[in-house]
Amino acid sequence: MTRIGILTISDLGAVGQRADTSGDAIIDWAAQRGYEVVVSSVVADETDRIAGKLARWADSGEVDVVLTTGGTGLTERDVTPEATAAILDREAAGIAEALRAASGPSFPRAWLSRGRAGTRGKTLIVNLPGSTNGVKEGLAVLAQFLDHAVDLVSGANTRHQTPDTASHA
Amino acid sequence: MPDRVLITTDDLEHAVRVNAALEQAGVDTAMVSSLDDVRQAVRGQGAGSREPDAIVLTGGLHEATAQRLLAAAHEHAVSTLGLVEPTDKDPNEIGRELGLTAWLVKPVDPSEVTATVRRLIERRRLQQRTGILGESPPIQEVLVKTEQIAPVTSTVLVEGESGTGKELVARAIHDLSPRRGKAFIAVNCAALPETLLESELFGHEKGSFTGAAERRLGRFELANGGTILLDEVGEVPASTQVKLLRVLEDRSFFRVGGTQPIHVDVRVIAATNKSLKEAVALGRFRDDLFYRLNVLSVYLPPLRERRSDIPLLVRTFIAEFAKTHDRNFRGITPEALQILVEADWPGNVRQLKNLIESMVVLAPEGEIRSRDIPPDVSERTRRLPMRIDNTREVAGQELEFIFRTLVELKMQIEELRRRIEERPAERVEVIEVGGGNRQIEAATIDPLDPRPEPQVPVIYKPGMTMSEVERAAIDAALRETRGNRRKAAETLGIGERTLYRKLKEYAID
Repeated sequence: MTRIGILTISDLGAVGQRADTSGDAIIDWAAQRGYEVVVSSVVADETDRIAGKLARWADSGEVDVVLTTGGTGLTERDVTPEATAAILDREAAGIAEALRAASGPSFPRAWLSRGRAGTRGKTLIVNLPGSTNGVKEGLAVLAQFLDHAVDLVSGANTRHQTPDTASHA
Repeated sequence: MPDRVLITTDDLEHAVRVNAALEQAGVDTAMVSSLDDVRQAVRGQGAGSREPDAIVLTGGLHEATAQRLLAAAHEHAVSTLGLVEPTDKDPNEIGRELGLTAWLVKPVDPSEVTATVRRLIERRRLQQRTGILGESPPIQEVLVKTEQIAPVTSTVLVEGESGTGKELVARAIHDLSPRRGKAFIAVNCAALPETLLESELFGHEKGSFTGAAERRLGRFELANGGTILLDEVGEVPASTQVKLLRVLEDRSFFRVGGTQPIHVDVRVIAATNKSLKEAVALGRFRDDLFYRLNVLSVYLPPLRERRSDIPLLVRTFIAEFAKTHDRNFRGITPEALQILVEADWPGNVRQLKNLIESMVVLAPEGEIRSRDIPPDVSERTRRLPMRIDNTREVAGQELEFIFRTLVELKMQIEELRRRIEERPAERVEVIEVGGGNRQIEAATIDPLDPRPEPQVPVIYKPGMTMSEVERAAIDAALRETRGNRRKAAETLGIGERTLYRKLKEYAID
């Protein structure tokens, strides 16, 4: 069973000032698809906190996919893409583009999401936008290829003793 | 496709010779007179067909037609080479004033023109490849430095405010270096918590800490044979600074929890958006690590110090994003462009680029107009005073200012101290004693080799005590009088007995 980690990035959420409806939407989606949510957390828009959580979850070997929500926009406080890039071994730019392309045509602001995706060790990490609608649309796209991606990521690593030694360039 | 160069005919004699030399070098040339529509020529329309790679202005640099041509060239990122009259005051000043990319003083050797044009065209290609855009002298300087620095393996420190393009420079250095085919690994040191940073950089062994389910290779290992960029290096905590220093010194390190040293061949480029010198002065950054990183350095100017590049950047980004987002976009109104040119840009090129992207996506008219520019950008222009929101903010700013001033003072004092310690020879005063016909003069003397000169100088070095000065004076007087103590005492204006006492005290024979 695919094991999911959910990280909600929100300054207000982190201090309990805002309900995590986007995170809840991911939980519902995971339940529908029969995934197991093994860990979830809310952190403030701080690069090192986000990066720390993502790396720890990925390195624990207990999470196959980490989905983040929030912090992907253009304002100064939006640092999720930077934090994610800081800990990724390999980018999977196509996933991020597919998420934007799903919403962009009907909702131009979606193009401004800077979300990224990629792998760290055996874990796939995907940034989803912060809005509940954005999350739902993103998950609908992800559903098309997530299982296959998870197989590839975990399979690739059973053939190599060490996680990804390929170039980051 | 051969390179294409426009040559103005203001100085026909030079133009003809330059034209011949460039043609011989295989360049596709076209002569343009100031009567032609030069703007059209730069845009690659009309008589000359495609856009030129460079323009040689042979004369009339101060005339309006040349100014128009230069403005058009600037806008279209075309390099310009001006041939400056020998009667002009300072060619460098003229070159900068007019915004020429390069300049030569007449009479010029046509082969020199060819070589310069080639260099300019190569640099243009480099800009297109690296995305380091701009025609202003400070950014051109960055490119020259990047070219110079790239081929060697020395460590480089890239300094500049956030959003100025430090990573672009680091990548350009890697791409121009012999390591270009190998890995380029960027580590954002500020994005990682202290505990994670070390294992990211150096890797960890399985089970070295709770949650380390497998061995992980560090970024230094992944960069082996290539280049590593340590971005925001000023944020590296003290404990990791020591380890970085060791890597820089002998290119080896241990994985976290590992016992075998790992050796790597990695070129290190460090980048910082704050002054490392200041951090050193504050004791937050090790000075030995700073000197190890600062072997070669590149300084990236903030956008507000190169406003003349803003129109070019704006047009480039608009074209780029219109294409990405498949929008039929006309461009920007002159008024809106003027606001962008005058804005403050604390976030530099990155901020400008992000703003252009959001405006291209959201501007309803298919054109950026003044009202599309968000107030936090349009209101923070250089012509308006800073908006001050509340008193707490003011107190914060004042404190910040006072603090910075103190730090700067401390740095200046340290710099002075360092200079004095390093080069005591520079400010040595030589005062001649005795021999009434001799004058007092200043000279530079190597303190390590204080040859007794015939003039018998008394040397004062910074840090000497009074008794050391006294002793030096007695020495000098004795040499002057060839060891005659009575005469020496007379010269010094002290009694003979006093001199004997001092000789004993200072153990002078």
